[in-house]
Amino acid sequence: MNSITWGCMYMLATLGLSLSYGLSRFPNFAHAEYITFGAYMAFMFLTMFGLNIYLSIGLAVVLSALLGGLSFLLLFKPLKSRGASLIHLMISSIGLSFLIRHFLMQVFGGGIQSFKIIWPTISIGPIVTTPLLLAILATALITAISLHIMLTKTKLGKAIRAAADNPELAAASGIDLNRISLFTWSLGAALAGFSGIFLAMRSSLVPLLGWKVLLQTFAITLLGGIGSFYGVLIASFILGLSENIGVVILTWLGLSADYRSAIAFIILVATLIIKPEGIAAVARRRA
Amino acid sequence: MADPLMYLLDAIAYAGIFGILSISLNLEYGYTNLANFGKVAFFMIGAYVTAIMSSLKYPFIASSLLAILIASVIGILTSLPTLRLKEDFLAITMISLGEVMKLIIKNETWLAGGVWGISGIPPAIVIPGLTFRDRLIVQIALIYSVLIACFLLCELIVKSPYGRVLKTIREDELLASTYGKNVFKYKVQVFALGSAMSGLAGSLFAQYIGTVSPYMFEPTVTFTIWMMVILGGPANNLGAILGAFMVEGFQRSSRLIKDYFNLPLDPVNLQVMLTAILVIIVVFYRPQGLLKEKIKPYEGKIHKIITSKLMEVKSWIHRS
Amino acid sequence: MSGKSKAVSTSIALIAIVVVAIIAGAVGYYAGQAAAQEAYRRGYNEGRQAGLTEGRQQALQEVSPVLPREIKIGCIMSLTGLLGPMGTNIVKGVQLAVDEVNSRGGIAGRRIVLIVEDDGTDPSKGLEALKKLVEVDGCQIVIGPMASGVLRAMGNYTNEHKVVLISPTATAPYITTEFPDDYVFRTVGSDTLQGKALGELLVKRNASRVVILVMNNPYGIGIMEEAKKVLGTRVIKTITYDPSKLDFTTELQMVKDLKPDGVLYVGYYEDGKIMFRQALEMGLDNILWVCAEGVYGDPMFEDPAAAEFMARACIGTRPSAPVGLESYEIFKSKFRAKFGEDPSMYADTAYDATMMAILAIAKAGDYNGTKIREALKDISQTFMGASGYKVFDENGDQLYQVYEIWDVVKVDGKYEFEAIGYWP
Repeated sequence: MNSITWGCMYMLATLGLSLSYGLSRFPNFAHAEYITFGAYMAFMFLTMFGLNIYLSIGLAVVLSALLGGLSFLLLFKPLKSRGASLIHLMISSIGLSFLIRHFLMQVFGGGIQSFKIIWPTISIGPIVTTPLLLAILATALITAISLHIMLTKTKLGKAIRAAADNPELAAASGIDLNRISLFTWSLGAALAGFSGIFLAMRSSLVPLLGWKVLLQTFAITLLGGIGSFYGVLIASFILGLSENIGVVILTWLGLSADYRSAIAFIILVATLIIKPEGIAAVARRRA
Repeated sequence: MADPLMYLLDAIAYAGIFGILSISLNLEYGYTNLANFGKVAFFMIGAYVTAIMSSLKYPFIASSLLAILIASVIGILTSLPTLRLKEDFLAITMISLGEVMKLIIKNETWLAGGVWGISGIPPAIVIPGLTFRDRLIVQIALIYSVLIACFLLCELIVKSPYGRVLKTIREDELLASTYGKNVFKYKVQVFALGSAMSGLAGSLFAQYIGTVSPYMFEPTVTFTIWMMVILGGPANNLGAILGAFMVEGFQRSSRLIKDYFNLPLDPVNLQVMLTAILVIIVVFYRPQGLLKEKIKPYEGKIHKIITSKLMEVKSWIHRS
Repeated sequence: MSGKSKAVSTSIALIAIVVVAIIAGAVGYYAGQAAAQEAYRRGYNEGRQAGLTEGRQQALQEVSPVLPREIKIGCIMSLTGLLGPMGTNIVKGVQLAVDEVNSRGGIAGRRIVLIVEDDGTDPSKGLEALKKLVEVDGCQIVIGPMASGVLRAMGNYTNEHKVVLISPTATAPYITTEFPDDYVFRTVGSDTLQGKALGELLVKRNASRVVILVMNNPYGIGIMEEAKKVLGTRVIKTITYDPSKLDFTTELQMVKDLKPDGVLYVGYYEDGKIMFRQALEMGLDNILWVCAEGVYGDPMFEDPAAAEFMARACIGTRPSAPVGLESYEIFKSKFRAKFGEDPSMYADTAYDATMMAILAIAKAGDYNGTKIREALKDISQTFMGASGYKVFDENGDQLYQVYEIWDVVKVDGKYEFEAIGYWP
């Protein structure tokens, strides 16, 4: 149960990264900060403006989308058009991540905040859960389904898939890469913000919220195959499951559970060595 | 008693150590386009090896040499499977590697003091009866001799034919391989050298501070070094040193400035945000950094001069 | 030859750049010098409150005029980093003490100036901050740092430069042994004692199958090691966890599977809240959880599930005053009046540390580290602060550290901490 919940949260957090990575061909380190940003925004609307929780979440997600879109428009697109190298793009994304994180720290202080929401426990059969976990599941499910529909049935979706697969060919076919990219970046950031809210509700809100899961999101992106929607879906759950199993094994071996982050790392390295294209490539070959 | 000169000297010492780190990264990234985002790991290894050796009562010479050795060996080991990767994969892998190494050190108390760290590391050169200021100056002398040595070494390398191969690899790997150069071998060598230098810097750091602990080696350190290289100018060793001075100076001065001016923002946040903005601006408008790479007319001059001097010395020795 | 002159010009350029950098740094500093006095004067004028006992007030006035015009007290706190969230509250305890004394005229009419530096919970930054305070600001006494690891990096420097360091929160056992009879003091008991206390508590409650669940940092591991000495074979499993993880169900599941009758837990607020909430969800509230003071505090109650769990299952220890907490209540009301929030864990020890520092400066009559240190030892013999009787032993540790045993109860729907006993 726990693995499933984490799988869902990872999925929401990573989709944006994977897609933007596939489209723009570089890993956006600031993606983790979209997560933190969304959480803080929701917190702000909820506690400082006293808005209704659904409205707070909604606004926070919209703002996250804005942040993602703006970072693409103002920073990454111009850099790319100037021919910035891959490393330069990465460095600027790191710079951006520091900027966002410390801006949030400045405004909200470096301390721990909490959403102060009471979640009553619900029992469904043998499983004890709370509305929060159900909400996470539901959101993930809805997202997965609607994205699936969008990617396969709509023109926009197909364009995204084409562009992620082969940007040059897509551009040659008349697909407006910029528009697609903008949309993908905004959507990705929105989902990230959403996951941030859930993460913060599940634990607590600190400035390092996004950074803590950065490694995992990268592992999932690589495992699932960069730019592959289905890859992310599967990989998120694989990681969620392995982390939990891994901790059990670690303690059984007498090692500290602190090594948990190492699990994501091992998966990451293994993927790179064995099959850098990730699961998506495997699936594609079979098709 | 207040002695601000000491603080200044301390800053200079720090800048020196980071200068060594910047030069090593410059060699890897500036000249060979290797995205080593795990630099802090080798820095940490060097520091810890020295710490452990000191606690076993070995002198600094031994511990620093061992630090260099181990750092470069681990550098080679980690580079073998990963250097074939594209820059972005390499970057991600190296960051994670650094984190895992830190985790190992933090958790394996029997190995390296775990969360406690190791303390009581004596300075490399102990001359009894010196004042604080003089001791600092001795430290600075040590650090800067190493820095200058590394600088000269790197300058020699990049101005030589070996360096030309590196630059070719940086510009176009395919081209380099068509010339029959084993690109991979060069990359591993450079990485090993860079790691060795980082280990040495770590060694100096350990004996300067006197303690090591896993909390001193966060990934932020790697990013700081990257900023130094980017700001100062990749592919320019002088620029790397300059970048180290700039970033370190900036960090120090923000601590001082906040006492004099009522800053609107928390000094730490302000400093980080400004540095980040600065990096973004530099990447945007002047990717060459402050000091551009010196090419063509200068190529080989220092190399020629040094080798000619060496020739002179050699013939002088033969004659006598 | 053009080659040679090029080489010469490079070397000159190299030297020039280095020199320029140094000069730039120096100029930057000295340029600000003039503004310094002005800024300090503008700085710390706050609060007018009653609170000093007459006796202490007297002590502060009986001072020879060898003291400088402005008396500087340095403060190194973790305002960012791992312990950042805690530091932002603890530093207020320090500020409270300084402002209180200043409002009564300072030390013999001289204002106390508090200079606060952040160490980011990083030992090398902490050392650098200390150097800045001592070398640039000329501080002879510093309150802080918070983390034992950071303190360790600063210890040698402190002793060499003969400046006094008083930490209100560093609890690691090794500080006693590494820096004996020296300039490092602490106003909080070493964890050697708390580990013992927790262990004995479990023994007294007849726990025979104990799982130790602690954070993987000096605080958690320090207590674990001491407790293990007391518990011996009762410990069936030790689990160290990463507090920055956001989820502990796996660890808790392991605890559950081991079927212990007691758990020894060390955590802070952030991870503690998550841990307890999830423990409640997993039905682990039928075991006795014995906790260290990291989870003692009202912030824990922000999560109702955590609060409920604590009420059902937790008791714990925390360093405290041996008798009645009147001095603490006075401190708490002053704190609340000034800052509008309650003092957190250790804000009281920080307040005491600062007060003792001020009194020691007054007693020493001279702004000199060695003299202040001697005065500090004397002062502590008769000092009763917000956190109790603070006499130092010969190592600069707390001679007496009593631990209060607390429990969480639900009174009229509200959760509260309640003292149910003392240790030893």
